[in-house]
Amino acid sequence: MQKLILATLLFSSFAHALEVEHKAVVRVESGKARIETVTLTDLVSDRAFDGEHFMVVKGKGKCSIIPPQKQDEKEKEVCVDEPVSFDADEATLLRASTTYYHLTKARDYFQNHLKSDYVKSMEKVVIRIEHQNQFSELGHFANNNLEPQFNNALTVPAGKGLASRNVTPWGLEIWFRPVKRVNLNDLQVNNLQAKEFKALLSGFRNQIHMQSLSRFLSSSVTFLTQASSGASSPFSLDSLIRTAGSSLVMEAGYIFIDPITKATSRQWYWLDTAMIPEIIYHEYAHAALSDYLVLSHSTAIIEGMADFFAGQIAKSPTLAKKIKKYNTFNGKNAKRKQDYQIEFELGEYANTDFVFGLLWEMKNILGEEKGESFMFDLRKNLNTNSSIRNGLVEGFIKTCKEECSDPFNDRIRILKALNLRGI
Amino acid sequence: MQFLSLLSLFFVSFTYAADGVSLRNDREGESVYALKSVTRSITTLLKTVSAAEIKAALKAGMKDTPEAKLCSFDLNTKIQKALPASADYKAVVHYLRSQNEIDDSIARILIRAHEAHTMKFPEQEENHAYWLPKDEAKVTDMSLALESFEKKFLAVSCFDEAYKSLHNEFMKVDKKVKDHHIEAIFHKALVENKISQKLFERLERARLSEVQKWTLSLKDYVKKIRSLRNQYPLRDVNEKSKFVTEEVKKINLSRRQKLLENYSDLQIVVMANVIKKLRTRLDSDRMEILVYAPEDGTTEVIPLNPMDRFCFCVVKLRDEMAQLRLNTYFNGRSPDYVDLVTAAFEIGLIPASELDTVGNMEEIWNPKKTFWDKAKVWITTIGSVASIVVPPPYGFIPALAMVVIQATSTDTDPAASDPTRLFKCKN
Repeated sequence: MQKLILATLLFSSFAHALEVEHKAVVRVESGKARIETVTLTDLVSDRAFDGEHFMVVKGKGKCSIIPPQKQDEKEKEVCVDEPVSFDADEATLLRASTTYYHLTKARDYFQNHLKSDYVKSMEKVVIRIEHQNQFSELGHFANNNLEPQFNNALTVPAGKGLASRNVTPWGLEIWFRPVKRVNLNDLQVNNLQAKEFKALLSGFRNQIHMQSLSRFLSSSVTFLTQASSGASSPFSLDSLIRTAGSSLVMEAGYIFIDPITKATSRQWYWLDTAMIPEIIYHEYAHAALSDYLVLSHSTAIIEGMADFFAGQIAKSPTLAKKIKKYNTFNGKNAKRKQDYQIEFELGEYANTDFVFGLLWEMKNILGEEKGESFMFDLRKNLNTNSSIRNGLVEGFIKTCKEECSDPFNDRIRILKALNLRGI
Repeated sequence: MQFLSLLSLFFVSFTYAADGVSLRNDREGESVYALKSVTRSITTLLKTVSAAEIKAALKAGMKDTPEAKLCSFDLNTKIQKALPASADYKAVVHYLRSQNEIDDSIARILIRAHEAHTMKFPEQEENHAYWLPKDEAKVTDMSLALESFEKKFLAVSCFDEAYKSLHNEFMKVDKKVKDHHIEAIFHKALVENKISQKLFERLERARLSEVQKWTLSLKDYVKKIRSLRNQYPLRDVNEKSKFVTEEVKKINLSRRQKLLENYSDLQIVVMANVIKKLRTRLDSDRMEILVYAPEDGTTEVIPLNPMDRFCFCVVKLRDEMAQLRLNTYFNGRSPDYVDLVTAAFEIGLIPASELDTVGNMEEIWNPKKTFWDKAKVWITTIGSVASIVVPPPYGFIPALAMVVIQATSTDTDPAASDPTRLFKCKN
C-alpha cells in the first residue's frame, strides 16, 4: 500500500513539474551568445517539449491528408499539434529548447516580477518553430501555396476557427520562421543610418562645390582688378583643372557611393529568430501585453513596448546584438540618440528603435524600479492604434498622474525629455 | 461685506503687530554664506560665547523696537553690547543665520552695516579744499544741507536712510556731484567745526561704503516681508528651499537676496502670478483653440496635442515675461525667469519641491552652452575662411570639419522646423 502511494506521488510530481536538461542558446556574462546546458522547467512530458505553459510544435504539427468524401469536394489537410520530441534532430532540438527556455524566463518575469494577472491566467501557448505558413485570421494557417515566410517571428492572436472548413479554434501562438539566406538586393530595407550618411555626404558635397566656386570667384576678382600684381590667372588650364578637380572628384564620389557601399558591405541577410533570446522575449512581451495592446497589426507603439520589455528581461538596452551566427541585421539599441521623425508613425518604420529608446530614457528619468512598473501600466493608457506624438505622450501623462510619486515634477521632466527628442 | 473685509485686514495686521517684529528665516534653505571659512569662524566664536548668549543678544536687540525704528546700525550696536567685546561680530551674524534666527538678506544688511561702521580710513589727504566744487553757491548749499544732517535727517530716521537723504540733497544741488566733492564738503565742515569729529567719521565711512547705493534697509525688508505675508500667508512656514539661496553669478547675491533687494512687494506679487499661471497650464490635461466662424456663428475646436500644450505654456510664459517689461509697475525693469520663480516661492504659490523643476525649465529656451558648443562656432567661422584660403587638394579638410560639426551638433529643439507642431518651445 505504501509503495503504491509513493509511486503515485512520484508520478504526480513528474506529471506536473518535470525538469529536463538540454542545450540552448543563452547569453553569458559578457553579453555574447553561447550554447550551454540549461534546465527546462514546468514540463508535463518527459518525452517532448510540452509544458504547463508552452508547447513547442514544429510547423503546423502532425498533418494528414483526408481524401474527398464527396465528388465535388477537395482533399483536406488536417493538422494536430504534436510537441517536438526530445528525439528530434539536433537543430530542431536546439531551437525548441532555446525557445522553451527563454519563454519560461519571460513568463516568469511578467508573472512574478510585474505581477501580471493576465499572464498568470493565460492558457498554454503553442510555440511554432520552423513554421512557414502565413497567418490567416480566419483559417489560422494560410494556404500552403502562398509565399512561405522566413527570417522573422510573430505573435498571433487567438482565433475562433472556421467550422465549415474544419478549422478548429486556436489560442494565442508564437511563430518562429525558419532561417534562410536572402540576398540584400531582394529586400526592401528602411536603412535610416544609410540615409543619414547620405545626407551628411550631400552636405559635404554642397560645401565643396561652394568652396570651389568661392575660390574661383575671389581669385578672378583679384586677377581682374589687380592684373599688375602678378597673381596667377584663375582662367589658366592648370588653375581650372585644380578648381574644378575637387568638385568633380566629390561629385563622382557622391554618385558612386551607393554602388561602392553595396559592393563593400554585407551581401546576405538571415535571422534565426528562434535562436535569439531577445527576439523570443520580444514575442512573448507581445503576448503578455495583449490584454491592452491587441495583436491586430504592427505599429511603432506595440513594437516599442515589446522591445522595452525584451530589454528589461535581457537586462540590456541592446537587442539581438553580438549574435552574428544567427543574425546579420543590426539589432536594436535603446541608447542610440535619435530625434523624432513623423515617418516613425508609419507601419513600415514600426521596427525602428526610436520608441524603444524613448521608453528606455523615460524609465531612467523615473528611476529603474518605478520606471519598469510605470511602463507596464502604460499599456492601460495605450491601444494598438496609438501614435507616438499623441497616444504615447498622452499615455505617459495619464500614467504619471496615476503612478508617479511626484506627478507634477515627473510630468515636466518627461515633457522636457520628449521635447528634446523633437516629439 | 466691505466692512467685514476691512475688519479682517485690520485684525490680521493687529495680530502681526502683537507678535512683534520677527526676523526669523521662513523661506531659505542652506545659507548662501555657508562656506567652510564661515563654519570655522562660527566654531571659533562658540568657544568663547555660548549659543544661548548669541540668541539672547538678538532678542535683546529686538526687544521693544517697533518696526518704524528698526535700524541695522542700531541693532548691530545693541547686539554687540550684549556680547563680550572680543566676539567676532560677523561670526555672530553667521551663527544667527545658521540657526535660522535671521535669513541671508538680514545677514547681508547687518554685516554690511557692521563693515561700514568699523572700516578703517585710508590715509587722509591734506589739500581737501582743492576738491571742492568750483561753484561757490553749490558749496554753500551742500554745506548747509550737511549742517542740518543731524536735526533734519538723523533725528527722524536710521543712519543709512539719513545718509541717503543727505546724498539726495547733494544731488539736488548738483546732479553731477562727485565722490571727491562730497569728501571735500565733509572735511570743510569738520575744519569749520560745523560737524563733530565723530559725525565726520561716521559720514566718511558711509561715503566710503557707498551707503547711498544700498537698496534694502532693515526697515524696508521687514515692511516688504510683512506686506507679502499679510497678502499671501504661507501654507507651510517651515518650508525652506536651497533653490532661492543659490548664488547669482557676477552679483554675489543669492536669488532671494536679489529678489528682495530689487523688487517691491507689489512687483513680487505680479511676478509670482506669472509662475502661478504657468504652473496651472503645465498641469492642465486639456487645451483647445476655438475658431469662431463669423458667417454662421459655428465654432471649430482644435484640441492641442500634449507637446503642443507643453510648448504653448513655454511660449505664453515668454510672452508674459516680455509683457512685464511693459508693465508700468516695473519701470522698464525686466525680471528674468529665475526672479519670477523665486517670487512665486516667496509668497508660497509654488512649493519648494517643485522649484528645481520649474526653475530648470529655462533650459528649454535658453540652453546652457557647453565648451564644445562655443568651440563649434569658432571652428565653423575659421573653417569657412580656411575653405577658401587653403589651396586644393587640401581645401576639403575645413569643409569636412564644418560638415561634421553640423552633423554632430545636437539641436536643442529638433521640432523647431517641424510643420506638424503648432507651437515650438524655442522659436
